[in-house]
Amino acid sequence: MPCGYQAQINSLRERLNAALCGKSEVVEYVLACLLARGHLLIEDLPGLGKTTLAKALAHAVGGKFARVQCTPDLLPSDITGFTVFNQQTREFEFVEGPVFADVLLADEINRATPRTQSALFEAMAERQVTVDRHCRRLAETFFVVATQNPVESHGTYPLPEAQLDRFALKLHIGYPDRASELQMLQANVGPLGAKHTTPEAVVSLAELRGLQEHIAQVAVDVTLHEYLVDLARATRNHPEVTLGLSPRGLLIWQRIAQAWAHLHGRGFVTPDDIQQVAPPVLAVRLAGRFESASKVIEDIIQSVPVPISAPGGGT
Amino acid sequence: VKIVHLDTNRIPAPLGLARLHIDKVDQPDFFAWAEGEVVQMTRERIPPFTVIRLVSQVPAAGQLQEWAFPREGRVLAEADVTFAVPNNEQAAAIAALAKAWAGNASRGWPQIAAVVSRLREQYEHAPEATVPAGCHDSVAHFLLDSHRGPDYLFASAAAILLRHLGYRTRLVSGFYAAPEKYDSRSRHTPVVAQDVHFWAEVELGFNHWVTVEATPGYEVLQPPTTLAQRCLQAMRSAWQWCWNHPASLAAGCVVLVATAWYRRHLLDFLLRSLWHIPASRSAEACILATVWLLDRRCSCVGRPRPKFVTLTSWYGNSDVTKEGDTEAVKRLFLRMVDWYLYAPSPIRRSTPAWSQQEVRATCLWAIRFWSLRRCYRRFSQSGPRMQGRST
Repeated sequence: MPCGYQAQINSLRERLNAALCGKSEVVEYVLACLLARGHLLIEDLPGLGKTTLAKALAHAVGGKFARVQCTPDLLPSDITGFTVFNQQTREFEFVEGPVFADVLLADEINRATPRTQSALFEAMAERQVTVDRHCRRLAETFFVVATQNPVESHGTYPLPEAQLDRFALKLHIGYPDRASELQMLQANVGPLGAKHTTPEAVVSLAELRGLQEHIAQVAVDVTLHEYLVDLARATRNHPEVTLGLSPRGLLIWQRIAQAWAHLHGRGFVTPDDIQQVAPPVLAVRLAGRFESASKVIEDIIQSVPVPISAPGGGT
Repeated sequence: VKIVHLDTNRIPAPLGLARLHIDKVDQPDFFAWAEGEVVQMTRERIPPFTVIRLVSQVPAAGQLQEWAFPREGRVLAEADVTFAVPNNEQAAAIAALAKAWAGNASRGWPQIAAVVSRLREQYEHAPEATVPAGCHDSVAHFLLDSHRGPDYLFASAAAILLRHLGYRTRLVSGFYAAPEKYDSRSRHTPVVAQDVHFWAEVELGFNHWVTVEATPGYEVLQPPTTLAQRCLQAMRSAWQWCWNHPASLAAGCVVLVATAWYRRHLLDFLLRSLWHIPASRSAEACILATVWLLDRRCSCVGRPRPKFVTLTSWYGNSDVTKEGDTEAVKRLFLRMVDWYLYAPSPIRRSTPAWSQQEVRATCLWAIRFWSLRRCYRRFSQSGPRMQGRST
């Protein structure tokens, strides 16, 4: 792996770890999601650092950050933008919505109505929005971080499967350990002004785009393609799963595994990469009658043997 | 029986003929009784290449142990040839010999067997031996003087000795189908004119007879044994061998116990020796052979690597020591495993990471590191672990 790429990734990693104390594993998944050009859904209790993480990520990549606080009265045009008549120029002008940012934080996304939620469909999948019959391209590094609260269910609209399938990963941050909380408290003592300064970006958007291009070229052997397909089929055949992995989900799984391999210093994917990213990848898109998604995912992993053979061709 | 050339119309059949079938002959008047229980065809000779299917019922020697043979004087008449004994000066000596050989054996088959075994063990079968000129009682000469002779003398001697003990016997001539001549490919036992043979038969009663084979080297065909009988016979033979060879038995037991005790090590030694064959071929083959050998060791200690657990997570988690060098080499080996098993060929060809010597040396280290003992200690303590993180 070129040293430049590794240095950029290390800088991103340090910045995110500094923002979210004691959650290096979560940071690794967030990095993998960013490098794989996926979108991230964070489901956890209030105050655990969801917004902090999203803002730190936006600032670290040096892009434009936008935040949407989702409420039931939020309209699709509040996200995508709208057209207004400019009396001075006597022309209609398009006012871009927050979706035109590089990193969009959709806070408590399950509080928006399904109509508003669906406004993000096209943006997340195709990186474009269509307003007034005009198709407008979004940034190449467009990245959605959505959060939702799993506890409060009053006045919420659960995300439909189609929307969930557009997210690459679903993560739980969880409470930090004691040492991390102590470190967080110590770091928060000091002048107030220092906390309002925006930190410098460690990676430019162009560099991020280069990183993402590089990740897409991480090699995957044909035996691992077969392994991935077998795993996908296992999700569809599992008795407790009513909605297995879609082909889009399979592509995302491979891309996340590529990013994971790159994050661990390899230019090729191994079965470990596939297995290690399986829980967050599958958790967001498997639907069924099960109580514990992790148990089902473990069952699925255990039902497919790991390929062990001399590799043939590659990608 | 397949007749090729037999210049008689008598059908050669064993004792106790129960069923007889000749293909394309389905009328009973084609057959007739010859002397005794011998069946003959009502024509001059049996045509060549006639196939005859025979079923005979032969009592097994074991079933005769308790059989009550007819006693002398019960049905015997002076003219009964099956009980006649030579009335000369040697008769008393032969009778004494018969009683001596019978010894304390109870009347019946044990007594018959005792007499016959003496003949088979103490007398020599000499087909070319002849009776001296002027000898009027060839059986007495054979029994008392020469102790050697052809099969008809053995048969005659057995018949006479048993008659002295009160059994009805008769002398029979026929053909001997030697078991050693059996051809397993054609499933035939060829019988030729030179296979003519003499033996004696003892009456069981009610005109049923049983063969007594007194000539050494000849055996009576026994009825097919059951599986239980064969097992019993095998056990008896094994016990007999053990009794006769205690030293060999002890040595064999020691070797057997040692082999059983060290079976894993022996198998591992064999596999480790075979490892060198693929290991010298290429780096990929070396890695594959090493992984196979390590997996085999885990299976050997009763904790096979589950098929869904990756090599890195299985062997990477098996650290019993955190020594720096050891950990570094272990990680190097696991990196090699990943590289040679999962890096696509174009990448491996374009950027060779390690030489074959380095791979081989690292694999040898891995084979030494994950020894049977270490595998047993490590893998038998905990179940498989997945490295997947929960979200």
